[in-house]
Amino acid sequence: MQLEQMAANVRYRTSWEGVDLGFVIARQWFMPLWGLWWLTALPITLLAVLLLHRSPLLVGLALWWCKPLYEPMLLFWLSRRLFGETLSWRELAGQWRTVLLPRLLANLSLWRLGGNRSLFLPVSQLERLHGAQRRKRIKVLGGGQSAGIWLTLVGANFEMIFGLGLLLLLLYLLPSQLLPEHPWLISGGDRPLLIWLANGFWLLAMSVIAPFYVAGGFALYLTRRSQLEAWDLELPFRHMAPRFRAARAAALVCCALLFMGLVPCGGARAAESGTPTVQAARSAADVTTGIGTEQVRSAIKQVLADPAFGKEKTEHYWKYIGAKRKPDEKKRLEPFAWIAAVAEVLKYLLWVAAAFALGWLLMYVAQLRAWLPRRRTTRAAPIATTLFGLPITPESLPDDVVGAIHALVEAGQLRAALSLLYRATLVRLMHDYHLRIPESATEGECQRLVRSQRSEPESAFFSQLTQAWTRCAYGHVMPTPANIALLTDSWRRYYEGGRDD
Amino acid sequence: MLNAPLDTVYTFETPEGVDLGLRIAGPVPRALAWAIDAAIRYAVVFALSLAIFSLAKLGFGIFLVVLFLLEWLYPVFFEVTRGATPGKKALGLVVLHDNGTPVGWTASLIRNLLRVVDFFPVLYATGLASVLINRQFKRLGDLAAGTLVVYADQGRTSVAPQAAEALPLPVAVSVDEQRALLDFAERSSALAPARVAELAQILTGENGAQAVHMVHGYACWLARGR
Amino acid sequence: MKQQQFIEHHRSVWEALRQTLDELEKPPRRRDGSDLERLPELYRRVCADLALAKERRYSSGLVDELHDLAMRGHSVLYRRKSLWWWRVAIFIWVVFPSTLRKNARLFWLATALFYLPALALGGLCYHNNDFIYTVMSPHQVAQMEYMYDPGNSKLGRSEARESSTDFEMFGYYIWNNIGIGFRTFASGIFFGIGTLLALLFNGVTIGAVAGHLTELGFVGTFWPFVAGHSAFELTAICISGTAGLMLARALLVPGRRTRGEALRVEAAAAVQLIMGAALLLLVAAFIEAFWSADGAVRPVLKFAVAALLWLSVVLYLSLAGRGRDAA
Repeated sequence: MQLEQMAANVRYRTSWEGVDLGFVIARQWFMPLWGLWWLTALPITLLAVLLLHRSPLLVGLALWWCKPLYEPMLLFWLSRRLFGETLSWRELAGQWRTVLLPRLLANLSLWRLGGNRSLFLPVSQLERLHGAQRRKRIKVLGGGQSAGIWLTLVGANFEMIFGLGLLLLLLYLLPSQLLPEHPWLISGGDRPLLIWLANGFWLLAMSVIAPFYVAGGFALYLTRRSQLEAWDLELPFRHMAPRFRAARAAALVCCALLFMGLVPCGGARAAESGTPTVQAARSAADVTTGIGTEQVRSAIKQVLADPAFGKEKTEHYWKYIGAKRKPDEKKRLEPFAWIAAVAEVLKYLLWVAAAFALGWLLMYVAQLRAWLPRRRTTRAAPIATTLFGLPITPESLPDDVVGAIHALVEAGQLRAALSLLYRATLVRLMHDYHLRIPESATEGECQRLVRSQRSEPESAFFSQLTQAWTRCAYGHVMPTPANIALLTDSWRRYYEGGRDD
Repeated sequence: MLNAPLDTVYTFETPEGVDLGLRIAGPVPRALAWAIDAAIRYAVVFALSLAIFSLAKLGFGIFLVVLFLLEWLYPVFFEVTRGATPGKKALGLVVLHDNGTPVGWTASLIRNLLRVVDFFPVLYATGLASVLINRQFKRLGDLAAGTLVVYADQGRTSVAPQAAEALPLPVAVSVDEQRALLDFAERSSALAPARVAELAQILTGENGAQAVHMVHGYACWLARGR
Repeated sequence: MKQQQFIEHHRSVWEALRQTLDELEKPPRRRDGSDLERLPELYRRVCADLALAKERRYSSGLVDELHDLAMRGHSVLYRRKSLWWWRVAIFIWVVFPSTLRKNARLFWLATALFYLPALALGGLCYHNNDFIYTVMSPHQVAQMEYMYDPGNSKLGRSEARESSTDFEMFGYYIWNNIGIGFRTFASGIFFGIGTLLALLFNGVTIGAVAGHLTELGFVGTFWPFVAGHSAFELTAICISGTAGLMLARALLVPGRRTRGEALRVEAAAAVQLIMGAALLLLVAAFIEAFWSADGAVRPVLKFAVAALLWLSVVLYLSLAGRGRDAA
């Protein structure tokens, strides 16, 4: 077995989740499991039909009763598949005796109605426990959880639902003229067609649910082992064990060499360090086949002997503790006149409530009218006073913008000049052309706004300006004075000219 | 095997870029939760019918209104206000959106109105088929509403591993194996001592308390260094 | 970083988040006003810690603890809660009518599927006395004729009908009619066939009954009774049908989306319609039980009120919330 090939995540989880994991597993391999189910169920079905064809009800009952017969094969296949090993038909056929026979008679007779059937199946099939050992084991596994029994009960109901659903669907779909005159006459000897149909659908439903039931029980079994025995830790431990032991053995060998200088002993140690690998492989196989070495057996016994296992038990049951005082007023209340009065009052109350609801609605309509438009126009775009940390108000600009820019360029403060030009452009756009730039806008968003609302050349200018500014502000690439002069000329054309007009 | 191992966990990524896992509930606990809810609803209907039929026609009117509310809005009310119906609560289930947020009115209404469809033709046969087929155990109502039924996380807290003298690991181990060692230290207090010893023995080859002490030592070394 | 160090280093943040969440999960009244503003920050830090703990394969217990904490934080932080009465008002005034208008074509389709058979059967039954028996059983016909026979004073029109009877019928209408609306919607998931049948069936039955009773001359009892609530009830049936057809549209013509994705999107919109239809049916039940059944009101007044109600329904659905669809 390779840990990495374990196809399901067996971790510590609740019993219910264990069942759910089983359903996921069954969904994954539904088709092979379904086929396997029919492999054993089909011969039984044919046999039952052949023997009991006179009473279809008995056929259904027999098929249902024999369910424990169809399930072991599924578990056998699944327990191998989960560890990456796909069994061939030949292997399955070769093993059927060891898979099917254990506890078959018990399961088909006394224990047929046992609730934890699919949970306990791995105990007899994979662990191969018998008698008292088995009883102890299933007591531990079955105790402290109810998911196993519910899985069986709910599973049986699922079968019923599917069977009945298919039958009803068929009856819906059949044209009414085709239906026998009395389809519900089930016991009539001359018209058992409906029972045969029901049997067929039921069998189909059983075959569909069975993979889920078996996988659910198996996953619940694995989950219980994780809960009780930390089985999910045992797997990686076994995986690590050879390396740990080898390392420790090597350390011992070194000690031995140091102290005694005996070379042959080292060879023996080295040989021994090989054995755990074999042992681990075997015990790993045990997990799937259940054949325990003597050591594991005794360890299991030791664990089972522990009082923490299978001792504590809480039982809930209903107990009759005597009736409470019987209600005296047994007499039935007759509709009195006051009821009519109550109804009358309630009626008017309802009218009043309806009037209130209407009034309230109208009030809100009025409120909404006051609210929504305002939200649209004023809230959507308040005029920003700062953008990307720059003050954007007409007051923050000098009166003669162009002059100020020239002065800054003369003084060599190129960055300040470009900043002023950029701010001035934004102020003009927002205050003279009423471009609504929200406070949260980025430079890129401004650019897009301008492109969507201003003329082509103007937005081209704005793009150039923005680019120059962002390169200067964030990229620290200074513009040339000539560049600034060019941009200032364009600016004057678009914005100063507009003002003079 | 290249595929991730089969599991019942559905992971989604939060806006913070962290993967959170939801443990999705399968058909068996959900069927039981439904049964409990059905029992509660019928009990209410029964009690109400006893109490109210003395009120003659007025009572019958109220009765029908309550019947309507129980039939259509009982799950919606509980799912939206409490996260789950009483039946689901009893089994530790809760209804969530696909993105892990608590279910809202719209989604809850969709998933519960479409119960009609999941019910078809009898006792949720359609819903059952859908739950068995769908990867996330969704019935049609869940598919349309984008909801999941998951196990509620009970706010687990980590157990401090037993204090032991740190012991350096003799060999390199993978991260998953590190995790197994740490888990051993955390869970050993909940396991039978004999089993703890056995597990430790599997790993170290030593016997009894000596082995347990060693594995705890490894775990401590992993957890806090020397 | 070793696990122990990691825990010691971050424990205080986890505890802070846990306390904040404990506080936030209480109902607002019982909060003690401690510092809840830090939730997003604490939550993000726990998310980061969780990612680290997973990546470094710290013990399952630790990862689970952090996972549950992050999960709680996630559901509290992303919970959508707003004032419910505000949302109800927005729903009634904006969401419902504008969603309906967005799906106007399907609404007209549903209306046609309902009214055309109704008109056809109405005409047929009006001209042929026996035609009704093709769509209803003799027993049903007899019952219906008895109900609206002016010669007896049964349910529906008796002058001194008790209020308790009104209540009984109010309950009945809610239970029955809204249930029908819901089923009409839900059965749309069978690729629209269920909705289609429900609309046709209702149209056929209602049309046949109306035509037959008019032909029998029960005009004075039938029409004043149904006129009032018909505005709400018939419109609501068509709207339920629209919602059902939306499900069908998602499944039949999903466009560029997957069917599941289309279904989720359409169902979210359709359920707005079905909630609106349920409200209309509630109003209809109220009118039907307490106004339509009132035998003391003169038919002329009933027709006048009915005209007013029809007008208000039409105006409401076509005008309410117009221009605010995006709000």
